[in-house]
Amino acid sequence: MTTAIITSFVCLVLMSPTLLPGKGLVKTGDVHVVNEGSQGNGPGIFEEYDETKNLQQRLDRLDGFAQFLKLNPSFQAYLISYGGRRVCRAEAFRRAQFAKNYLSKVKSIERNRITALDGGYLDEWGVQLWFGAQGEAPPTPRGITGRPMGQISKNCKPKRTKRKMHGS
Amino acid sequence: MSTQNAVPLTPAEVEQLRTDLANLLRDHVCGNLVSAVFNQLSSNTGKKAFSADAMEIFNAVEKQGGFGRRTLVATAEGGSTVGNGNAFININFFVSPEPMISASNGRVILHELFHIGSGTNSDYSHFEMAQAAFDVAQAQGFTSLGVRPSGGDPGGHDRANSEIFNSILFRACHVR
Repeated sequence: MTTAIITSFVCLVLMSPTLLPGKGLVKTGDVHVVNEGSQGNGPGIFEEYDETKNLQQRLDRLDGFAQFLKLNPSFQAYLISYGGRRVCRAEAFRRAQFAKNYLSKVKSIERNRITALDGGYLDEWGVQLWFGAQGEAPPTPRGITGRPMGQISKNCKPKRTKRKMHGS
Repeated sequence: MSTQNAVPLTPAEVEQLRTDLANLLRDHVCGNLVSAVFNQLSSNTGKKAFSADAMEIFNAVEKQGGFGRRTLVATAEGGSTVGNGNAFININFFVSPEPMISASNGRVILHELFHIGSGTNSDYSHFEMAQAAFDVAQAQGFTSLGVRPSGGDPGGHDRANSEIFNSILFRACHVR
């Protein structure tokens, strides 16, 4: 029953109007240099997922990240979404927004602690879950910006998550 | 004690960090990369690592300046070197046995162990760490590494190389 409710909510989040392109995605620029103390540790990668991970494995990583953020309430979350060689229009954006919505709406992490970043393009698409201490500059994406290395398909529709019904 | 402002971690917290580290190093991909990076740092910089075994460095820190917690504009900090005999690590996060959190915390500790793991009186900078990690990762067959780090700023404020190092460390050391 709980799984069915969560899965339904994920579907709802996926179809949310906040997924419209042009909202909330931050383009990053040059390398940030901050004073972080003598030999401090800058932002770190908590986890990442890509096409090799199924939906449940992706959610497991987001769940673990949410748990980590609740344990460390002063930390900020950075979701860096990369497009691959062959991408749909706004695909990386949708993935970043899905992760942001899941963390905020399903796992109750404050939205102002979560920043979605356009990582540019890599060979394969992927989403990295980074964290940083309060006051630190966000991590720098390492993808190629501008035109993708491959092709952008025309407005292909995102796959809908199949609703699974489980008896209780 | 590590620094004036830090609160010492409890024995249970230190033990959890030790477990976090041990779990990462038990994976042969991670263990091999970590020990090779310590060796690479020795040869690249001329500053010999205290050990190529991160757990030995962890144990040395425990006996020297120890582990503490304090609020930082960073997730953790390391000070001095094991070679100096007073190395310490302060963290700015809470420990947990949850596997993904444990792995993440273990990587942060590893990052700091690299900084202070020199057997000399001079620590390893982010630039030196990123370059050594790049060299080892390339030799071990990691792909899509980008270009070899070729510059850094002194003083440990080098965010770009810190992130390069963290990215390579994550690729070798994560929950599989």
